[in-house]
Amino acid sequence: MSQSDTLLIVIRSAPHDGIRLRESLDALLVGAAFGQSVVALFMGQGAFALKTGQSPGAPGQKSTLPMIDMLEMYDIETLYLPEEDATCRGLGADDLVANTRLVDAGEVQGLFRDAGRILTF
Amino acid sequence: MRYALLVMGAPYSSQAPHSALRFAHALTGQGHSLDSVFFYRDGVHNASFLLTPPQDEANLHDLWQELHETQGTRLDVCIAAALRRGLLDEAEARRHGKPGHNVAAPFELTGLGQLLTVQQRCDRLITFAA
Repeated sequence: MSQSDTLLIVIRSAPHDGIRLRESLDALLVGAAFGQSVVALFMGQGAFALKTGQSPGAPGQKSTLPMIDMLEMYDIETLYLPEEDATCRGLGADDLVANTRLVDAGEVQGLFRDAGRILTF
Repeated sequence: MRYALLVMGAPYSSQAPHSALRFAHALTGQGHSLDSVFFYRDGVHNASFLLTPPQDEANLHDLWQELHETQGTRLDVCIAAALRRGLLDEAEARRHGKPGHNVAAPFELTGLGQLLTVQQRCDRLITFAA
């Protein structure tokens, strides 16, 4: 296991899939609020969490996009997303929030390798 | 080794808590220690002492409690996820003006920060997702 004290949080839920995404983002915020170095990796359906222009007011649910926008204030400046997970969902860089960084499979491996601890939601 | 478990599935509707319990017994049977179980998302339902399955089915709440009694395992429940789903201890019920409660010791309502603390303290954190 790596000696790094970086906490990697992997998020695989789309917006409005119940409150899965909201409760995953809560973990991100708590990690950052605890002063830990947090790395956010969105995978699979989690790609949709980073889509811009999501309108709030889906039936009875709060929008999660404001939480995504807030991450930068918590020093979570880069939101990693495997490029393949974006393209196979028809999402290009222009569709995603500005601090998204599209990464290839090798870089994803690196994120896992360099993490001291990992939480997957 | 020192282990902790993260349980995110509800009893009976998800396999997660059942698998987590079996894993817990396998761990302690092999001489490892199980420091804590953290309940998050729908996993918080495991903490309700009102669970009343048919008599010939396992009562998951009671099995967690037994694990605490025999192994000293902490049973931490995320308070935000719990309140949202109607799981309250006596103090929270009073605070929110509710007529009853369904969570009591050894289950403890605590913040999500406790999950990070537990992960730092333990050698391994194993997730049982729904």
